Amino acid sequence: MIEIRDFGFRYRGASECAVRNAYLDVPDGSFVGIVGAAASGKTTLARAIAGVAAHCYSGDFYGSVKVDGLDTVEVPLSEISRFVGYMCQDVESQMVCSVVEDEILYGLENFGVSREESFRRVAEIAEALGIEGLLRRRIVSLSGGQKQRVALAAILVLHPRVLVLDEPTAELDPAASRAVFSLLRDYAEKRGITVVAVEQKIALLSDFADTLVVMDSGRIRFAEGVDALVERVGDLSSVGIGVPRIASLMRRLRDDGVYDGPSCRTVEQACDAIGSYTFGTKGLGDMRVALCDGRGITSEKHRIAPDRRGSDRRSAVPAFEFRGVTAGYDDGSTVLHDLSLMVEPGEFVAFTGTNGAGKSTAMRLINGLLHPNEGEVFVEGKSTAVISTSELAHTVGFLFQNPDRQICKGTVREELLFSFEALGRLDERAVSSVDAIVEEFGFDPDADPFLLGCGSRQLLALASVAVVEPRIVVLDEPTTGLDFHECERVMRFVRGLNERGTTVVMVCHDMEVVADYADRIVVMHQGAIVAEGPVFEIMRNRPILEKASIEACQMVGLSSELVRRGVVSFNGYVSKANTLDEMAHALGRLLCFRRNLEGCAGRRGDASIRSSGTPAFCRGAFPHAFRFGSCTKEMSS
Amino acid sequence: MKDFLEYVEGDSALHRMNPTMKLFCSFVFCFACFCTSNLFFLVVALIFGFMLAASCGMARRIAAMARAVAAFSFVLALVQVLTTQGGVPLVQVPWGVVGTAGFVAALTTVIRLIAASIPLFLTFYVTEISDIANALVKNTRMPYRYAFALTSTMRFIPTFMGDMGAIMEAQTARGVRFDRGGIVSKIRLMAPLCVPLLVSSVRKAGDAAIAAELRGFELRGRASGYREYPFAACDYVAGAACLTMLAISIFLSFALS
Repeated sequence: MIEIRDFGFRYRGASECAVRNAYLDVPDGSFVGIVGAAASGKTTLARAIAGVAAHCYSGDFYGSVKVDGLDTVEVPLSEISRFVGYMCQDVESQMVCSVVEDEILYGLENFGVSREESFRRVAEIAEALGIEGLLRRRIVSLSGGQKQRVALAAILVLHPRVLVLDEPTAELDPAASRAVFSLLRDYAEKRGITVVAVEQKIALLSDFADTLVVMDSGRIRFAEGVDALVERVGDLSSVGIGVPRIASLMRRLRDDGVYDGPSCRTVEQACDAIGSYTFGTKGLGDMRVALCDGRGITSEKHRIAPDRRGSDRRSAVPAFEFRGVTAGYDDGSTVLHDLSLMVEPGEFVAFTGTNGAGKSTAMRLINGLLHPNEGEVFVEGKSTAVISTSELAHTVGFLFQNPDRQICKGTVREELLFSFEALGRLDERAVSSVDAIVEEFGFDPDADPFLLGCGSRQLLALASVAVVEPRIVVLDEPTTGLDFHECERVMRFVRGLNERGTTVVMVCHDMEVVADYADRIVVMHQGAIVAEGPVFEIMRNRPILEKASIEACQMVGLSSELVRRGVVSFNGYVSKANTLDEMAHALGRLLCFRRNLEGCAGRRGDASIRSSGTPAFCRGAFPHAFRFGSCTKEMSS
Repeated sequence: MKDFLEYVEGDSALHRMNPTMKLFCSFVFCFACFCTSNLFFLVVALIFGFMLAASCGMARRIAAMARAVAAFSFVLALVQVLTTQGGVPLVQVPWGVVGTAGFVAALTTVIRLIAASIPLFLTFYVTEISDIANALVKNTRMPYRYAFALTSTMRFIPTFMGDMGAIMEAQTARGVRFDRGGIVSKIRLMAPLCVPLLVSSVRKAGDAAIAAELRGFELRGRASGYREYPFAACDYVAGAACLTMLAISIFLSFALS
């Protein structure tokens, strides 16, 4: 369906091609995901397939991109758009009409589809996407997820044979993102639509795509099936793509020589693989007895790191406190209901929940951008009712989700200096602080901030907040839209701030980031706090996760699922493993045990269990495993 | 001002009127206000404008807009007070005398601007932007690209207002004192914010243009829209009333000169 030959594109004014020497064949009806670091050429490739690069952007177009046999350069865009649908990241700006039904009808009207046929198609697509009740609604009144569905409906109603999506779920929470992709896959499968989706969330994309195309510095580095590609953990990491933690875990176990089963990328796959690989189906009951028996193991020192929440943080004055807060907006809507929370100085707290749960609204209370209708908010013991936002800025630094709203100066250096100027603290000390942070981040001080990449703009906005050294830093979705390396860079800096004593409060949908960096988690649902506590404790609370429609990070998810399936092992190592290292350690022991069991079985002549040598991983590190292995003969007899 | 010139749903006579006729009447009404300086005529036009607003439940919004226009025309009124000679002398100034004629001229200017703007504001409050574009194409045979450009400007106003508000919030959170001081101080502080606003506006406008093109924008013509915009009796009555008003205004301007 899509045939790309030696494609390259250089935007006008750019010194280098955004994409070069690209070759790709996409079969009819397939679901292809395009992944890559920031500025790797993903969006340009998507634009080329949609015909937009050739017709809407000035620049040099090399090679050819054919869709359904038609060259996207030679055929007018109005012709291409008859069978190719394209959805960009900012769905709001691509809405042409004010009412949902008009928006969906717009393309049909233009392409001259009959009135009866058009309304039949609208009804059909509305039902398929679950937006029947929204047809008479005004678009401005819809939520982010609803707008996403309307934008999708407006494209799908034209019955495209190819659908190109550029980060369609960038601003959605994990549950909403999954819902959009599920709808898309079901509809595409039913109608045989070829889907090409650019996406940063590789774990999500892997569940839906048949093939992943990996872009790196404007070139297609890999184009392979999902399972094969996810195995290339090292290769993907080197090009700025974070693979699912499960894939990294299985790769590590494989490298350690304790696992040679199938590759996995989801919790379910890993549970199945480990369950069957370790116990098979017959031996599970006996093994549970053996593992729970724990002879020779219980005396070993507990190696699992405790939850990171510090217990020595009680101070006389909390960093901030919500006391029975109810708050909403000018239109009379109440968003937050009876919020009570205390955050101690130096804590790293993550707020999580679905879109519309009230997380960002709660953040606005901390720096006085929003005042409660009932209750009070205290920052370092003072009520925000008597302090203006601009005064609170001395204490509370706020990083907004969209860094472009913060950046306003012509150079990086001016931007950083403006942070001091805004606070009335522009002096020699400010200049030296700016010089230090420019060096720390490796910024070009004379660069134009608006010409920087998305991740660099986010870093600059963060640096602008951090340079004035506020005692509390509030981050609203700091990692949205960032690639793996950019995300790590931003979060490492934030952790550094926290280690130097800054209280960090972060809104974040990415539970892996939350698990990696936060001490404490606050789960919000429908404007209320439904749970708060140490990160891993909350992540193991299944009812809370279900209520708030959120998922635990993959390692905790795997641990909980293995426990649920009865794999209680080694004095709770697996059941307490929270991080990749801990889980690799725990499963390494478990799988070593299995190896030794094989050894015994081999000696007994049991051909159903393969015999293999004891891996080096097990020998020095886990001498008890051999002891344990030697017991199995007695037990099985 | 969050819902600045945004359509408000309703079922009033003004809501139901043909969008092209609403636009026509607004412009005729506006033109009539500029044709004469008769204060009595302008006051009647102003009152009529408010009555129209009240008839479709927009009185509060129109009053807010009228206040904004009055504030905007304050500078103009001040210039007229200081420069229009005549009437009863009140204050001696270096370049002449400030008299009652100056105040009458200033009052006339303010009332004229408010009266002339009310029907235009009302049109946008009671008409969907997409209906204005479609009706212009259907009723006047205006090429769709011009109608789209015209209405897109209006459609993006709420978006830009929202963006501006968000940018001001972001800067206030950095310590810029938007939440303190007067209007002059705020205007001075807003100047640097034009850069991010411009950047976001250009990006949004580009995305919107591409999205429209990808859904057959170029193919859209007079026959494309499914919705029809016929003229009803009330449309003709409204048009005739506005033309009569224009005639009176022209007559008064000649009668007074």
